[in-house]
Amino acid sequence: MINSVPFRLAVKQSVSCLKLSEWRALLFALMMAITISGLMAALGDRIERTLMRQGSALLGGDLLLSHTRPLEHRYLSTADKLGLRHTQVTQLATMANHAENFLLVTVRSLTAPYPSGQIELDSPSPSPLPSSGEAWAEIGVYERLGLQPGDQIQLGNHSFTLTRIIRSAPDRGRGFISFNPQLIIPEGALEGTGLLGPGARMQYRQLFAGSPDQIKVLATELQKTIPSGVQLTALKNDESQQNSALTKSSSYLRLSALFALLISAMTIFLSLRRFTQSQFKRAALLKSLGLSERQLLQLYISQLAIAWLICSLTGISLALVLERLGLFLLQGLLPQPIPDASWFVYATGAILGGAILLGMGIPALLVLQKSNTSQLLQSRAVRLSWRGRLPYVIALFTLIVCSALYLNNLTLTLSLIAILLIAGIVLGWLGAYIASRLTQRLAPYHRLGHLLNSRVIQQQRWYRVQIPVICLLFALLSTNLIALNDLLGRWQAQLPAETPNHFLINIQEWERAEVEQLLQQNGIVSTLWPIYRGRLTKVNGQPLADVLTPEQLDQPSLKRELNLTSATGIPEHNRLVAGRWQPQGGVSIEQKEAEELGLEIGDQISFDIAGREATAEISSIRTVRWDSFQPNFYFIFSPGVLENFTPSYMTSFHLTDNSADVSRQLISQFPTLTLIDVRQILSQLQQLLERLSLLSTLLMLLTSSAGLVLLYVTLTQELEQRRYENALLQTLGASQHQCRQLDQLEMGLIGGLSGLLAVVITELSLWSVHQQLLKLEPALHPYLWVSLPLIGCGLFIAVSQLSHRQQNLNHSYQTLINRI
Amino acid sequence: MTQTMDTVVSAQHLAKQFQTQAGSLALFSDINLEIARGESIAIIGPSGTGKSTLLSLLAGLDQPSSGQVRLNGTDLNQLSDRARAEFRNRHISFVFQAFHLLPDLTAEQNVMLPLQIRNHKNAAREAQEWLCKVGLEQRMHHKPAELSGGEQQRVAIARSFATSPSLLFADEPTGNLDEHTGEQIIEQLFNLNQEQNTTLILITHDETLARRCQRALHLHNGTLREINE
Repeated sequence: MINSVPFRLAVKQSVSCLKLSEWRALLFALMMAITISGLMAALGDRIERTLMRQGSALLGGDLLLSHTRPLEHRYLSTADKLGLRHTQVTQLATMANHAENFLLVTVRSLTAPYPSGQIELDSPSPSPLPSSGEAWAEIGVYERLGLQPGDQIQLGNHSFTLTRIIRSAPDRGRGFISFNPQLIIPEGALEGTGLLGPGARMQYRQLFAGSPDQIKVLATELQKTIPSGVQLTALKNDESQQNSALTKSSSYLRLSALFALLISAMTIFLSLRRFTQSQFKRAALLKSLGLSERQLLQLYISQLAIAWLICSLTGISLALVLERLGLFLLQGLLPQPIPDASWFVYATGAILGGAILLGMGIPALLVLQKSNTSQLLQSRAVRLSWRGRLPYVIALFTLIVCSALYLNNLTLTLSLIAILLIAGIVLGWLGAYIASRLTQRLAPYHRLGHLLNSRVIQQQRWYRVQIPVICLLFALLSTNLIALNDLLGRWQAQLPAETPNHFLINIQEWERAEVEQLLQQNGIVSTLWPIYRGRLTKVNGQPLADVLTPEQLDQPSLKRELNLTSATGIPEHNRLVAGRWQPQGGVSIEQKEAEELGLEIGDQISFDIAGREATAEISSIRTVRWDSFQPNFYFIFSPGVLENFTPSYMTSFHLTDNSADVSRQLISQFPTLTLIDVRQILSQLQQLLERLSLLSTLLMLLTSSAGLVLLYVTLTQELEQRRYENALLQTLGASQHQCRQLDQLEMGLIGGLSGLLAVVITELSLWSVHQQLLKLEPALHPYLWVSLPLIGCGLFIAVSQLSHRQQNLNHSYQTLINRI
Repeated sequence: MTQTMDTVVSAQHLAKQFQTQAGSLALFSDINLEIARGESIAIIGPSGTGKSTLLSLLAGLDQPSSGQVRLNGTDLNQLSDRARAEFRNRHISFVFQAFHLLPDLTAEQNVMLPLQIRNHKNAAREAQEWLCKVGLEQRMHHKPAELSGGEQQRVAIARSFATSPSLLFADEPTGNLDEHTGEQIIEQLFNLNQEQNTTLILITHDETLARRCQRALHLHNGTLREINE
């Protein structure tokens, strides 16, 4: 094979073709496709495997019971009888303190090592769990509080010595809590901290591991006996992990990468077309010299295979470098260690690139194979017949298959490609139409106006490709960057200066007076709200299952304990919309909650509060401003209804940057209180979003370079046609300067128009992102309306200047007579 | 040779050489030619003798290696790019073998092109009038692909006369047409030439066609000879 004539010719051609711009564009696009898909596959795989390592090592067991109240010991006895391994975990999120620096952490204490999975430490420990007075912490705790092993850390009113660094540990928990740096303390130590009051956000878990049969028996047993509220999770249905923010981000990055992949595929398609066109006479010549059709096909397939091999090697190398960069950006946000990706994952890009090249290349090569030696006798360039729509159909089919494999989701792929196709067609048509109408209108106002209009009419077909590509690329880039910035900036900006930025929870009855006094002494105005943790159990005396629809039963508020309160006055950010405020024995319900559960004024509702029942009649419905950063409640009872229950208290207040002293006083005087600094949560969130934004910027840069190459290819696609047009204009009396000016006017117009349409798409997308996702008041972005059209304008002019230099008059006539 | 007021084209000691890998190749070295206003002349000769190159030199599209070309008394090589372009637009037109119409523009828009270059106010009306003169009043809004070869060449003729040139260069104008259509086109070309008092320089290898011109010149081995001599 290697010594065959076609292969040797293919090697020579691969080198000599480097002087052809279409061959270089093809190589670049192929390399980008391989890099981007390889990078996203590897990075995505490693992020996903880190976050949801499919196995009990992450969960900590094969079966897990969890609840916000302590779990009964009898479940452990049942497990013992079945011969299963188990442990009990108590967990809460709280502020850790060192030298008056505070950090929100997740603290866990275990009764025994995890039945499945290991806690990996920086150095071996003589015992499987921390000894008394010790704590093990993740690197994040050390880094953020500036600690070293051996230092002390304060949790509640107890101090611990940090002895080990946790490299990885199972059972990180879910949701936002899993982003907090983790601490593990000895069994029972949590009780000693005084953090476990009635209002504390506790999580109690029992984890079990054993053979699949044993687990099955236990699961059946537990399902029969566990009370409502206790959640049973088996390894196979632990899907909640998949909803974590980082996993979503990884899917989002994958989707963004798909756009880059589609752009690259389009570039490959167009470059191959031009390459085939340029090779037609050469193929005919080789045939006339005795090469058979089969050998000709072998020659060009070998040439594409060489291109694929070179692009795969460079693409994968580049992907490896960029992957390191990506992981570096996410350092500290992902639990360590990050598992390695298999070689197959890195090869994904190369396989995908190969499939695209094959799908796009074979139809072109078949055309080339049919070259006719008689065409050598013609002096002019041969125009190829592309046999109708077949190459397009094959290319589209290849794209769909490759994208579906890449996203691993056919429905999503089909919908995305359909959306992109429709958007592309509409934008292309709209852009070309506006360009033609605009130049027609403006023609009398510029010396070249009429010529520009003729040029725009002449180039309509290409505008339908160029405008949507650049427009969608710009829209994707700007939506991405602005959505993240808006989320951070405007979120912070919409909090008025006096918005509470601290929450104090877990205040016990006996601490209430002293806390109020301390706050008053510091000039802080705040209301202490009693908190009762309860779950809605009955409506009008009937169990929920009998009166609510399956959809209503699926409401998240029914799946957890709610914070209930009682008050005489209506809270500041609430508005009464129906009923009477707090008659005796009444309860006020939030409007949306009432709508979703189908509850009305006059309905009797019952709650299970710490095992006892409390019932009240709905007497009013009110609206709540959830983003007010004030304590907000679905249910507010009339005073008296809950008088036999013991509450804890919570409050929120505003502290300026200079009043850190108040925090210190609160923590030192009441070590068991939980003080949540919202600014810190926002700053942790900001850090996460900034890193993700950097990562997506990296991806956007790759997408942009793919887009630029496509722009270059589409502009040079008609290079001969443009040269010819300019030659004709010059013989008709246009100067070289006029032709150059005409080109610049045209490119500026098309670039500006692409930018302008991109602004419209961006604003529409941002409007829906703001409304639906970020829950922010949508607003226009005036700077976009100026910057994007200008960038588009400059970009088109620059690329067109690079892609075709003006020919001088001496060659114009020759260009015309050569084109007979 | 003295140049009179009625001389439109005056070429003196015209030479054109090309650099090739094998060295310098002279296409012609000493060509002298005077063409009077309203005159029609044909340049004939076998392929590869440099007919088209001579045409591009005479039209000021290319520069000679040595010698001088004056059109209407102006040496085009002394003009700036802009002035030369303006001169071409005002005084010179071309009719090509391959018509050279832009495929996505209608017949009317194609005829408008040279008028738009000079920013003519009534380009559309002028183009319509010329299309009527060449008998294409029904085909104004058709694109080249929708027209026959003869019709396309008539659009090209309308385009070339629309600027009222003093000099018309026609390079094998019937080369892409069948005999019958070719004759009709030539008829139209000569009629309009007479009507407009345009100087016609026709490049052809067809001796019958050459004979219809007032003078015929033969380009061979780098020399230009009057056939009548």
